[in-house]
Amino acid sequence: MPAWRIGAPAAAAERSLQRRRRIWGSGLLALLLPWLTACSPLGLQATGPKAITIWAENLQIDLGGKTTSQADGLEDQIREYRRVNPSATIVLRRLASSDLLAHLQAHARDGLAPDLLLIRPRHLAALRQQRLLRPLRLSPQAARLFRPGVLAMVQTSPAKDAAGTGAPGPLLDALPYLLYTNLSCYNRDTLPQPPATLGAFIRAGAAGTRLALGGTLEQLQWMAASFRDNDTALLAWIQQANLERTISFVDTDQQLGLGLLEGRFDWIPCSSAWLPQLRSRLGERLGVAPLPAGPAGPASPYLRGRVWAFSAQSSSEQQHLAEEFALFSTNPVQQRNLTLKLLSGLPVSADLPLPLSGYPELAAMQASLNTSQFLHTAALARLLGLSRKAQPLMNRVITGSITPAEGARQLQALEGRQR
Amino acid sequence: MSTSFSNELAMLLANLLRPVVLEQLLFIGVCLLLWLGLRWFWRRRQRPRPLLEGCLLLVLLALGAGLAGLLGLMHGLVITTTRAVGVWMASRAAMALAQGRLKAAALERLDLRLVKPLVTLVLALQLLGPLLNLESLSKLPLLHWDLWSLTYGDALLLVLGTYFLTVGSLVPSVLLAWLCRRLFQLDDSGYRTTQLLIRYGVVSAGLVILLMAVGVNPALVAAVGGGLSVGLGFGLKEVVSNFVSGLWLLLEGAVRPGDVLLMEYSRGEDPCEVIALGLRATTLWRDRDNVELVVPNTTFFTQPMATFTGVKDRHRRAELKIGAAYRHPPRQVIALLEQTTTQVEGVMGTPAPRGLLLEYSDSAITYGVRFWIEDPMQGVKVRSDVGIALWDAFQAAGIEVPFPQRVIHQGREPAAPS
Repeated sequence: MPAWRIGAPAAAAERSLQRRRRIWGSGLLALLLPWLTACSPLGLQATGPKAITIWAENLQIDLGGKTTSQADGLEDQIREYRRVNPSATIVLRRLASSDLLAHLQAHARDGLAPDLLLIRPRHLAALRQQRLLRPLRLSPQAARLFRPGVLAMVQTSPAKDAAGTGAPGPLLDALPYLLYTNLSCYNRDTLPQPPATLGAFIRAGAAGTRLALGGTLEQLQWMAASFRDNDTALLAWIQQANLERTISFVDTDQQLGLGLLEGRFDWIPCSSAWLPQLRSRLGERLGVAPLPAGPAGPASPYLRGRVWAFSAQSSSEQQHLAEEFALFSTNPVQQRNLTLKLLSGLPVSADLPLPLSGYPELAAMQASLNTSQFLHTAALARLLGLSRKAQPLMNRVITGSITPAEGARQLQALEGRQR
Repeated sequence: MSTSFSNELAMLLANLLRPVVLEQLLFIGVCLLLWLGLRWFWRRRQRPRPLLEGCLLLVLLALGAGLAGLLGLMHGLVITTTRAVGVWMASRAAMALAQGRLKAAALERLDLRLVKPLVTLVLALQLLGPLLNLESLSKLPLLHWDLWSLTYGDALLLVLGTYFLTVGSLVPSVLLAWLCRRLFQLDDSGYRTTQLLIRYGVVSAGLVILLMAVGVNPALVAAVGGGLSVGLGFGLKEVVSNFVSGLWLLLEGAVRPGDVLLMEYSRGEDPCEVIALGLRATTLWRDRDNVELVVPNTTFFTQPMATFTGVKDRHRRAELKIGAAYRHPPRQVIALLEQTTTQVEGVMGTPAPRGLLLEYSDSAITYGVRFWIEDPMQGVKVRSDVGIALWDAFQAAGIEVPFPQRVIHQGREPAAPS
């Protein structure tokens, strides 16, 4: 070591360390700067890999064990899409309904919300309120491919849109993917013929058939039109049904599904989304039919389904890829393949011929669809809100604590307050 | 689609290029640059104060998050970074507080082996959590057998779990041993043994729980164990033998940390203190030359040894022999021996030193004085002190310490015949 360095090795080492730190720091900054200048305030966009994340809401009944195949066929859709766009990366994550919103909010706080959400339309109102959704403008050509009325369910403020910018196509909160209808699901072994009318329903209950109904206003909405929206008549029928020992009212869809699977019920109202699970457990014993008609007409449940919702936080590349994939999944070919493979939902595509005669489930779903209501997301949000508020009232009606007339009066008062 | 590392990496890059993410990274970058500038300015005038500087970064990031919130921008990543810096600073502050309460070397070891790795792991998970789908990645299969498959998450859990279990078990073992010491009035060696046994127990139980957590099939463990036992019989015989010996010694209590031994292995009269009883070997410390002897545990099974710290007590008894001339009355000499030895530092008053007449030798009467020493490691020093004190006392009392004398009488030559 040279003599002049003796006595100051620590200072030299410190200087060397500082020099190394400066070099590293400059290098890191040099690497980061071009990236940071790609930030939106500077009006630039960087290009990255073509990759999107999809979160799909899990609609399975929780059987407390092995999960069965999903009713959305998403894995197949992604596989098919990658055949035409192999450079795209699509990561799929499934979440339980109960976890979806909390997880979404947590990721959105970081700016990392998923690019695409496959959810029930009931969540759209909350997501729109939190500004997590990016509306989609559909071209008239693309819009014509959809079944009439389907797009209206998810249209962003239809009145405003019509008088708006004069854009050529509808502005949507989400893109419909698959339609699920409400059906009668029953066990063929114990119930050879399902009740076709609400009168037959009561008689079947009196004869000892174990029947179950949901106890919330939303779960009983399918009866409303068949009583010509006469609340008193509807509530009277509910009270009469509860007089039968073998007719049960339960609080959740979960209890209905499990009840049929475990043999506690012979008949339940079900969503076609449950069919893969019910079929896998009951096999040939599972019977499917339209819901019983009422005195004033057929059952008219509101149409359930799954929609593609687009994130407001995606980059432009991710937005483009997400839209492309969503439109791919709703093209007539994919929709037909999906419908025939899953046998649990109906396509959103218009004029798609389906072999109904060979598939009784599809025939039942189609029959149910013909009498279903296409409820706009705003109307759906109102129904769900009213159902929550009216729950104590419904419990009092079901248990006979108040008369149907009094129940109807209070229900109308609630509806009035909600408006 | 099933997750894969390449998919997640692509997603990470694509997500990092989102405008809302870039805005947040810009906020974090500006805060960091501002902090570096302020720190540089501070260090030109004052000595480095890492804790204070860290707090400054924390404040800057918190202000950045607040500003982003006021501007209506997403700021979750800024908050996550602030929280990460906060956790790191809290760990540094805790270490600073522990200084002076714990030994510096022990604290540094704890920091390097446990605190820093643990905090780094927590921060990595905290920072990567929002960016990657760690849950799905951890479920990707790494190895697969007929009955059992090992995922990346399982492998990571096994590796990190074993490391943190081994290192982190020190803290609960020290606390529990301290509790036992208070409850059962344990001495030093008992305390150390208890601590070691608790640590082995925690590690063993933890390993079993880890294996159960990753779903290891007991049949598979039995099969692997059966195969290993053959290997153990040959290749790892010594290692296993030493390990078993170590456990046996602990359970039996024949050799415990803190014990003072006199054994053939240490070569000589000098006692050695047991510093640590390891899995394979025991570390002894010899005072004379400050040597640490690493003795395989099996040695204690094959060699006899003497201990000063056994069942009875920790005291050592030493003896010094000295001669006095025949002209001094033995009672006077013995009284002087006992009186002088009692006053030497390190010699115990009770039991009292005892003087003995050992032998009528050729040139002197040989006496011995036997005395008790409290600290067995100080045997040589105290005996030397006693010898010096006796020399001084004999000088003062005029007692001669004779050495062998030989008188040679030269015979006369026979007269020549006349």
